[in-house]
Amino acid sequence: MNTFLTRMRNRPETGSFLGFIVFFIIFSIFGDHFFTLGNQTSLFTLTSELGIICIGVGFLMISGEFDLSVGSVYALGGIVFMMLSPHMHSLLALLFVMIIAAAIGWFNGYITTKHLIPSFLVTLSMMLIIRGLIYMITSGRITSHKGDSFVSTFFSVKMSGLPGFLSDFRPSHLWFVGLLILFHYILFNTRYGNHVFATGVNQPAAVRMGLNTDWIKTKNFMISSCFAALAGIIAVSRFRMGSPTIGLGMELEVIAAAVIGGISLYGGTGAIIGILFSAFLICMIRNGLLLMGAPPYWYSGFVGVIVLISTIVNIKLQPRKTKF
Amino acid sequence: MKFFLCFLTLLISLTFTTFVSAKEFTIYYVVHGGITHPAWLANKAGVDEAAGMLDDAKVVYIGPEVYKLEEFINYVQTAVDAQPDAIVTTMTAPDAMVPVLQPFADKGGVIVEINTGQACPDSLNCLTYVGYDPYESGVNAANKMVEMATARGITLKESLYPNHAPGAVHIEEWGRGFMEQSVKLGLKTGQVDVTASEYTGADIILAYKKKNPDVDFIYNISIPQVSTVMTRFEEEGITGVYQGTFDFTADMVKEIAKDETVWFTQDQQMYIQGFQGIMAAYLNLKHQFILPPAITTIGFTTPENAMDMFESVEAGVR
Repeated sequence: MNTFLTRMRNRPETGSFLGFIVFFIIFSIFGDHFFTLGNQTSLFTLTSELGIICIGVGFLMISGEFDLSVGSVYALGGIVFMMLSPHMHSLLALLFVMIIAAAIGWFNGYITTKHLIPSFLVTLSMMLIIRGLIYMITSGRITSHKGDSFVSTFFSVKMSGLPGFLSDFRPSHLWFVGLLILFHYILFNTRYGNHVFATGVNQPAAVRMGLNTDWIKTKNFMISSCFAALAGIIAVSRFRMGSPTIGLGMELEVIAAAVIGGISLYGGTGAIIGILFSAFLICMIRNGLLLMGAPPYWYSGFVGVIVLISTIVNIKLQPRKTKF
Repeated sequence: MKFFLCFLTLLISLTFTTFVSAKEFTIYYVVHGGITHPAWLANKAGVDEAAGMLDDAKVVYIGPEVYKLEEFINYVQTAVDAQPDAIVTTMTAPDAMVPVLQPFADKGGVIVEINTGQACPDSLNCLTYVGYDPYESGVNAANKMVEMATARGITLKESLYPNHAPGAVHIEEWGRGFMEQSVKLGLKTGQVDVTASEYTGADIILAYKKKNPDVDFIYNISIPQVSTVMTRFEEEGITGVYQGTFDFTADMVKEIAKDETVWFTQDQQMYIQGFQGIMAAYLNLKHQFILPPAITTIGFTTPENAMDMFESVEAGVR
């Protein structure tokens, strides 16, 4: 039993799981309508969009870098997709957006690794550049989605054709869970996952072992950007509109979710599966507080307190050698 | 690399040089924004139109891309530091703005308040005011809500005021007007912090509706959020909830014309606020005229007159 508890404690996702369970129970007991299928699927929709970005950012953080540009890439992905989709098949528009996002990720990686500039600064600059670009190309105006519904059917709209309770779910839920499992597998069961850990734990040692750590990091930057753009496409195709301000401040939510999910801010440790619980936790806090009847001006404060508690619990559960 | 840097420096210098031209008057127009919001785009169109008519005045329009109080105050400080002849500004947080604007006012600088409901402190000696009255706008919206419900044979039970910028004086006053009048009209009412994100806000409003199932009218002053709420409510199969809003987008005008769930929008004539704000400052600088305060929120756009507005909305002046 002790061995089991010790093993659980040493797993990076345990903290986020416990935090999730505690608050889920509290909200389920005290929040009207919290524990209903409709509310849970709504929350899982938000979780999926946030979580998809977290997977990419999580991989990058494990390899020892940050990406603050994800909020802007999320917006750019959505806006460019909406602008392109009236002129071409939406799947083609999605592919174009992915190419753009990959290029942004590559650029972030190139500048960070080749010019040895901290990724914090590179991606902060990229965040501002892209946001400015969005304002320029939209002239600040709201964009409506007028293209075909192929991509929205496969990513975001409710699966109303399915029987019973299944009709409340969306494809984005499946995409999120699928990507989560896939990247969890890659991280722990493939050579690339090992290389990501090695790069984050001790880059000079990894280089001496013959790893091309610059390219590993650059690939992770590209994954991070592509996932952010994909989440943006999912969000805008869900609402069929996008304003140039979407995704503002999202990078902080993403990093908070990754850290609560057990990924070290210093790189080298973490688990992708914890993101499932941490992203859900972040998305459910405001909803849960509201359904519990908390006063409207208290939400942000509560959110901050709960995120802080969750992070502290998570850190306390980690082995002493782990830093956050 | 060196050549590239030299070229870039030269290019930037030349770009800025073109902005510096000898004009008799300089007017800074500073808004809390965000300047990417549809309403502020129309406002800027009015400012640009006025600026284009004035050969002897340089007009600079600045403000944060999204509403951020501290960034806005920094912009006001920038305007003061530029030593213009006049500053046209929203008086979003008077207490925070007095220390910044007082030295400018003391030197005889002209200050015109726009948009924030005559909140200018006496010490700043503002020349005039152009804009809406937030509290009255809220009151009028509540009255319109009940009037339109009655005309449709609907008895409303509970209204909601989503607040996307808690702490902003005019947003708070606006909500206070709407909610107090709702209570006077016999409705339950409440407000909820929906954050600045329309996507997050839609789900927060959905959760609020689940917690308060009687909510049947939402006075959604952030117009982009009307669309996201409609989408989410439609997806959840929630019917019998109506919305009123503020300002314009082309899609929303079409939505109002359908006479379904969005009943009205209020026209605060942001273009006029921009145009007249500049003109008030200019005419005072040039001829010492004092324009009387102008309240620009005078009407509602409803299904009956929605399409009359479409052309001016498409043209970006509404």
